[in-house]
Amino acid sequence: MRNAGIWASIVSMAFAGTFLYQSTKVDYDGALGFGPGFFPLWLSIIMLVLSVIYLFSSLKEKIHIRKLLPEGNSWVDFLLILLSMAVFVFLLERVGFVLSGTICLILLLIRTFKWYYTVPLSVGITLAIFFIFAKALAIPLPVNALGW
Amino acid sequence: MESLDLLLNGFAQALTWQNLLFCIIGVSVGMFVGVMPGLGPVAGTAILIPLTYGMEPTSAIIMLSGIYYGAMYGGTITSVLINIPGEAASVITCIDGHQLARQGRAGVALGVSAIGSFVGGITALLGLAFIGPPLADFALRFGPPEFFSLMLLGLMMLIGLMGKSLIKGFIAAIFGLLLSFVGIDPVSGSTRFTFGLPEFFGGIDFVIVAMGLFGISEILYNADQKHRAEKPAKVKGMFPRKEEWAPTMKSIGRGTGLGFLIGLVPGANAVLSALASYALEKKVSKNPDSFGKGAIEGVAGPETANNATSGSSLIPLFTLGLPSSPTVAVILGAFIMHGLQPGPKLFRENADFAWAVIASMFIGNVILLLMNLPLANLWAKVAQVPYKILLPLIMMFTMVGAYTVKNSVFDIGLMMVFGVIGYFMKKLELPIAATVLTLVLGSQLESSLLQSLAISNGGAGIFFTRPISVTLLILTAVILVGTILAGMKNKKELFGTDIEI
Repeated sequence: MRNAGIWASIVSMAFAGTFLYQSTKVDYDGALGFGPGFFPLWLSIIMLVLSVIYLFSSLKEKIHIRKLLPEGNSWVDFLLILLSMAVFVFLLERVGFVLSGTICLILLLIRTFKWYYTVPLSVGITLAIFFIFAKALAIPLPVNALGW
Repeated sequence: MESLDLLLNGFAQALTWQNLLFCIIGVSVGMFVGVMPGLGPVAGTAILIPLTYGMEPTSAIIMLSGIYYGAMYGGTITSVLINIPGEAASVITCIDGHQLARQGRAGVALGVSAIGSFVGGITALLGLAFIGPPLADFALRFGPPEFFSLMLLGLMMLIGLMGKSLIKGFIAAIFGLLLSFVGIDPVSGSTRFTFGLPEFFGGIDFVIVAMGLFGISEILYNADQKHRAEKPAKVKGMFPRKEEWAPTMKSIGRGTGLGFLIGLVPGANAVLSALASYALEKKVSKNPDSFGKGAIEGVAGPETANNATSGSSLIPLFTLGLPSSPTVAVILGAFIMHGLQPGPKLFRENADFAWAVIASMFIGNVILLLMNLPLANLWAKVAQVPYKILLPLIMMFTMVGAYTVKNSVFDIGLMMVFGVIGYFMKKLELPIAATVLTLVLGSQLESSLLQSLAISNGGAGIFFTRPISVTLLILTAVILVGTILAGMKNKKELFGTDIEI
């Protein structure tokens, strides 16, 4: 089960299967001929068939699952990027843009710079973006009770 | 000469201080994106779409297309000076361009590229200005069956040319199509594939998917690669020697023709045209051994070709509404977001807009020529900005951009999910461009199919009895069979460069 192609084709099958099931819940016929269920239904069937072919072809042409994932130390960087984004999503509407942006960037940069560079850099970039969007372009960003 | 009058009107609009400013911003960002390794034109355009929300549609498209063709100029500089292509279409320039730099002739390589890029870009724009309108008039005869067949053909070309595997290409395309159906169906009004989430009622926003699949996946992908910084070569003397002018101009001429034609074919991006031009130059050269050792033609041809391609690939977009490369697909998304529908009616219903954008691209090319000839040294310094400084800026811009689409945190999360999907798609060699293209075209594809079937009372015969439609379908079938045969003989390696950045 170290063949990445097999996993990819299974995911693709699951996606097609889900859409196939969902499209049976929508009308196949409409007022003027075919309805909203017609095209998605056939497309998901085609995708399902293609995924099966993909499964068999990947048995021949193997891509090792290790090639799919980041190597060595890059793993941590990879996860830190996702973690910092997730933290930003979680905090944004709770504590406002400036605080959540700063925390997100500190997490992102902590491994790259010393802490006394990381903190001012994170605050600076967040404030710069805040002013560009919220002030210069007048695009509303979520803020806390203090207005930032 | 109606086109000429309209073009002059376009210049009047494009030269307003506001549009000129956005043109300069666009091409400068394009240069920046082109110069920076690890940030390409697709990601750059996708990330900056949200910034254009408050803008006039004309200014917005002027800026976004500036990023697109500006990047083609910028990519050359790092290829020549530090042997790292700033964007994929300049990969081939590393070979002879960097050799020239090592011989102390970096200036010449950059000068020739800038001139070639300018000639290629301007010629392609003349093509757009003068071939575009008659082509659009012809396409006005198209009904739903013709459009359906045309989109099928465009999609087939994209899948046939871009991916290494036909199966993976189709899977990626249907993935995008199915995603485009999420939300309320505009024809029947019924809700589809929302999985009970109210956030999906309005559909999955194209910008979110494009930023995720292209932008975030690129950030994640870069976590894997380490960028090295090399000291750039010094630039002096931008022009070739007297005896080198003739062969250089001939290469530029060939690059323009080849690049222009390749740009008209959906799926054949600027990377492919640069590669094809290099091969052509080597073939016609009297001294093919000089290639790889600093041949000026090896820089002039490909650099001209990639710019000609990026210009002429706008012809199918403006006249037929068909994007031919990932960046053009993103620009198409921006058109739709600003309430404009590219296609045969664009030159009639939004003539002012279309001509202003075309005129701005002429202006943009002149600005780029000025930026490149005397300022190459400055841009080389910009390329030295370490990626670790750039990363937090790109991340913040992307996340804030995603938020501003609908002022929703959900969208940032959704973009993250598509970022991870895009990362794995890249690693598995599933063509992201096919997904994004079908996501943009999905609703048009479905409505033209359903309308055609309604006209013919449910029979598929309508696609085969109308001459234009059947011709397009035969072409689609020929490409399908050709791709399968080429795949069997493993002859697709040249086309297999699915480079998305």
